[in-house]
Amino acid sequence: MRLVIVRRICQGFFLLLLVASCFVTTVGDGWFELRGWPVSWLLELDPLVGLATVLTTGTLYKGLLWGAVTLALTALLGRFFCGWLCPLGTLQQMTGAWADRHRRPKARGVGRKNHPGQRIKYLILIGLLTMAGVELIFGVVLPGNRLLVSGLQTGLLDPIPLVYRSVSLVVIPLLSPGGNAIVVTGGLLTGGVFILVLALSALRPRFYCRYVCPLGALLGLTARWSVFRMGRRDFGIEACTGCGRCDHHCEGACAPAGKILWAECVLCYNCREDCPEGILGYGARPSAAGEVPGPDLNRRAVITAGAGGAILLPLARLGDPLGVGWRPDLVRPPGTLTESKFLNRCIKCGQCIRVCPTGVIQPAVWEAGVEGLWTPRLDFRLGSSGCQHNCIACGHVCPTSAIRPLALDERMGTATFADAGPIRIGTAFVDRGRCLPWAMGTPCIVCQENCPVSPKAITTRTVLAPVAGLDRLTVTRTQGQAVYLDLPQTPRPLAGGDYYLAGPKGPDTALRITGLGAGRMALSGDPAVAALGRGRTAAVHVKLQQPFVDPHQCIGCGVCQHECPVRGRAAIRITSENETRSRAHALLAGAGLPQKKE
Amino acid sequence: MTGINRREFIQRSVKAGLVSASALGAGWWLHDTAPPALEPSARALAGLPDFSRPYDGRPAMAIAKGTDRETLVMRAIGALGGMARFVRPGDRVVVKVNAAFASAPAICATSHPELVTAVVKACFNAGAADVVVTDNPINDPASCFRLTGIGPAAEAAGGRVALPTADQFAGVTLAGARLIRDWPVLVGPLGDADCLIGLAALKDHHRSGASMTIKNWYGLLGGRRNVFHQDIHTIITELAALVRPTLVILDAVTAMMHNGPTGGSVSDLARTNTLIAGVDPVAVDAAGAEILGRELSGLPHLRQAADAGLGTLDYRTLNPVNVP
Amino acid sequence: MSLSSEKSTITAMERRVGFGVLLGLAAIAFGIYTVQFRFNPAVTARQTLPEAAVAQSEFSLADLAPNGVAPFSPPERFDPDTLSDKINGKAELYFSAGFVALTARRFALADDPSLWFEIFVYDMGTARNAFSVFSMQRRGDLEAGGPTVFSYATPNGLFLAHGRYYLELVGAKASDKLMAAAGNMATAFVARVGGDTAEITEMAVFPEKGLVGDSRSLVAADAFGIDGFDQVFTAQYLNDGGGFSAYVARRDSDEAARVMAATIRDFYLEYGGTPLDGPDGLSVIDILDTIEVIFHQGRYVIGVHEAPDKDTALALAGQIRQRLQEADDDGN
Repeated sequence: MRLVIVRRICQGFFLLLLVASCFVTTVGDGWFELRGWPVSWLLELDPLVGLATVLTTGTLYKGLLWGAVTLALTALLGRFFCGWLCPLGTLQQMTGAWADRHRRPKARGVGRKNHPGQRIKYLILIGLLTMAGVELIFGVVLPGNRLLVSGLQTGLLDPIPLVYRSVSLVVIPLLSPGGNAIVVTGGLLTGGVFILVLALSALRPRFYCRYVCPLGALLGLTARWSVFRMGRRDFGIEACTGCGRCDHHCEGACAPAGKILWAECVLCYNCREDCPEGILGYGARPSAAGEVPGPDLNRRAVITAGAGGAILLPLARLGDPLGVGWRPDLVRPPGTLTESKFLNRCIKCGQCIRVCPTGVIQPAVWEAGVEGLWTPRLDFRLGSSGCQHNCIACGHVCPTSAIRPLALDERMGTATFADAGPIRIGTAFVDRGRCLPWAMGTPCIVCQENCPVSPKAITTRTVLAPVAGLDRLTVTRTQGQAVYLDLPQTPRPLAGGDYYLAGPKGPDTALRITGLGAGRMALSGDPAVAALGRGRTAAVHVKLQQPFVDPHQCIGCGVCQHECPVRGRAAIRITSENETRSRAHALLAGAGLPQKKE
Repeated sequence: MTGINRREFIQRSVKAGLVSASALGAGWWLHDTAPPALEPSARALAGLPDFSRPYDGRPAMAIAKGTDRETLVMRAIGALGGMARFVRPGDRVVVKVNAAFASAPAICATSHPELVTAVVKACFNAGAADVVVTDNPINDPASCFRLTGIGPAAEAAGGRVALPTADQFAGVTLAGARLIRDWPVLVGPLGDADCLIGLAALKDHHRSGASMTIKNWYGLLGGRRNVFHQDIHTIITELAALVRPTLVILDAVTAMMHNGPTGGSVSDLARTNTLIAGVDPVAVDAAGAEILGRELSGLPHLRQAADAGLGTLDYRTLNPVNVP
Repeated sequence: MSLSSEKSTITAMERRVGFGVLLGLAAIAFGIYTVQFRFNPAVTARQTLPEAAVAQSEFSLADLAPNGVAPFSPPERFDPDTLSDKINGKAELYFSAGFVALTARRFALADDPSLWFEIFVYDMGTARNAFSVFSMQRRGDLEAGGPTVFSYATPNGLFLAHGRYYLELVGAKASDKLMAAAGNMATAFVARVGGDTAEITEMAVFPEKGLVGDSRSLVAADAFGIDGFDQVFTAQYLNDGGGFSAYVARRDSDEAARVMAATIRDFYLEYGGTPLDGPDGLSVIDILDTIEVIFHQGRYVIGVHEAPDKDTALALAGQIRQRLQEADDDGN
């Protein structure tokens, strides 16, 4: 079997693996559900994830060790990951080949010629890694200096998280059946980037790989001294006729017949197929025509890229968004690390968003600041419910532990975690100006009923309040338990059980209204008890249960907000006050909270 | 393969092998399977140094009556055995004043500058090597020290003002405490100090009933300390356990009788013409409460502190020296 | 590529590399297949329910099988959509009572496979629902017997309610040996699920003081010899004066409760009781030197039976009434 066929099988395998990984990332034990599928394995194989998190955290988390394997093999073999594994590369290669169908061979060759702009990706890599590592490397010298803050932004451009989130947050939701539609925000941006990547590859094959991809750049640098390499194998004889056919399907634009740009070669092996002389191939000796082992980067460009990467975060954090400038409306999934630690780990892959059984986790577009693009936030309006308090799915699919994998007991504050209490992601606040019982004299205890914690975090206090417009009625006569009075038309369901009629003695002796007729109502007792008699004034009262939130019990799950009948801007809303992950946001004394930065 | 080619190949292969091995090695070395904590907890100090002196039979408390703060404080300290009892030659002294608000001395919401001058001078006279005046005020620290007159007064007497900059705080955990757990405390000035003198003004306090020498330690707390107002008596009790001073001085020459702790009007003040100095903050505060006309039942933190063995509630059993 | 591909020949090395890569892919696929059996904690956590009592779905029925009993059919699970497949005619009865899920499995004695029983575990969502289907299907004149208050046995069946579950263990034959094994299994189920039957209001309202341990029980029909007085919860009490009992029964409506209370009162008066003065709404009757107290509250009929004196009877009645109010259960 020819190697290009093997390569296509290999690419197909990993593309399928990617789609399947995204598809099965839903909670459940069926074959097409999460079960034990290693759904984040491709992300773990991505060495840029591992390297960048090492720079931000100093450690290599769990499965990210796979990235070291990729790097180690790349150092020996070259950029096999780009040409044989990377699903985004595969998709671009397919698009490029499709676009090339109607181009003449010469035209194809033009699109596959090397371009100086291909060095941009190395500068992007340097910028992103400097951004990630500046604090680790220079923080020892100048600890706490605000010019030396670091953060992880590789996820913006890293192709594996990019393709994961494109499939999970755009492709699968777009194809989800109408009856079970998945609601995801940010589709235009997420999908727009994905389509742009593919569209550019139609213009110029593997555009993203060649010009943008920081992972490709990392692997290109790693492959510099690789044992095996592509190149011309016509040692001692000049067999090359200069026909240029090797360029016609070259994926990396690495000039295989000339001095091969080894850092650009993605091992597609197409040149070997195309060469009529059969002199191109893979072997231990450098190309007979010589080679350029690494990218052409001058010091000035490198320093500029590094400085650019280093200064962006200090600028973004000038307003202290992780300290005094925090965003209370930003509610993160349960188990999310404190914001600065979280931003040091989140690669924006969208796994947590995809797995969330209620769809309450949504990608942030602008809600989490520029740094927080595509990071998970809870949107209690979207989604089918709030954050389920017996669910720990998001942390257990997170490849970098930006969301800590909680045990169920830890989440719920049971068993050995009883002292620590449940994980809180925020606190519910009643907006008394919008709440039906508080502001509109209308009975409603939906939030209290739906509060899932035990004991309930929402309690109610019952009051009898006069109903505007029905509070100055005059009784014409009484008969048994019926009262005749000048009752105006009202849409309120007075006989529904929540309404009472009070006489001159006030609401303490009010009687429940049990029936309603024209100018007449039946009461639950003798009208005389309430001093209701001919000529007396009567006032219709409504029994209201006004909700209160107990901050000691509330975990911020947002079920109340989701269920609140005031749908637009709910009358009870979660903000991240009192979230467990930040003592600086604590609401209650005794939670032990130093302020400073987080 | 030619010799040169072979040598190149070997050199390259060694480099490739090194890159490969270091990727795996570094990965293995940095590998961490344990998920991180939700919020890393900084290593907190276990309490503060104990600045109190062992009991030596000399009076524990003195109550001086009069109107001139400088005279009163000298007489009261003299009755206790003089400043030399507390400050040894070469000692570094920290004076924790009340500079909570940027208000004028006449409002009496803060330590009086005359008193600050007198105490700092007395420390130097006793041989102190260094006297640091500090507090973590509620308003902007620099303007608080300036507008209250405390800063100029301290410096005029040769002392230094230590402003509560972020690097002066460290997390402190008080054993057995419910509230002071890994909480930022103004430990910077206390680190190499030998003596701690508390200088408090007698004030009404809306939330805790009264602000006296123990409540004055609140100014050592950092962070968003106002959450403690949810549980004010517990935090004051815990402060009594956290801070063991060498000497406390309660200035009741002019007491803020109501609208505390900020006051704002001289009509909130009353001339009570008393100054109390002592080594037992609970006893001093109990005496102060009497002047302020507060029942002990309205000041649960004093009872709690006494119950915790942090001082004597019935200050008369200490036989306070009355200085006319 | 197609143009030139004929020209290229494949070297042996390329063939070996290609083969090696395919082998690698197969190994990866196998590896993925292998690890997927180790379920993600997100999945396993989802299967536990946040109840104090252990949810049945968390453990396998096979784990409860006593020694010498082995499953001989796979476990079957049914939800409201599929229940009719299993118990066609009777499904409606369960639906009306809030049916959630049914797990069923057959077990046989290891030494005699012809002796087998099937266990049906109906998850009814709440203890009230489970009790409801239990009492609706109770075969008339059978003695109580089994591991819980709500249980009874037939020659080839054991029926019980525990917590949110209603269980049926139906034997293939009326064999003592088989039913003993079924009984052990039922006992193991109750122990495994844990929790208490006091989740039913009627069980919870009996005050602890003076209560004889394990004396709470359910009288299915004609309690105290009164026609039509069925589904009555009783509890025995002891004090200095001797033993007496209290009872609580829920009716379908307030009106039915009132009528039932009146029926009971008339029953005692008819049999020679003397009405005594009592607080409003409470009937106090002296019959054969013991005191009966009968009253109704909401949908509940409450009484104290054969009390030694009036004060004791009224005190207990008052406590039950108060606990019923605290339970905030108006019976709806």
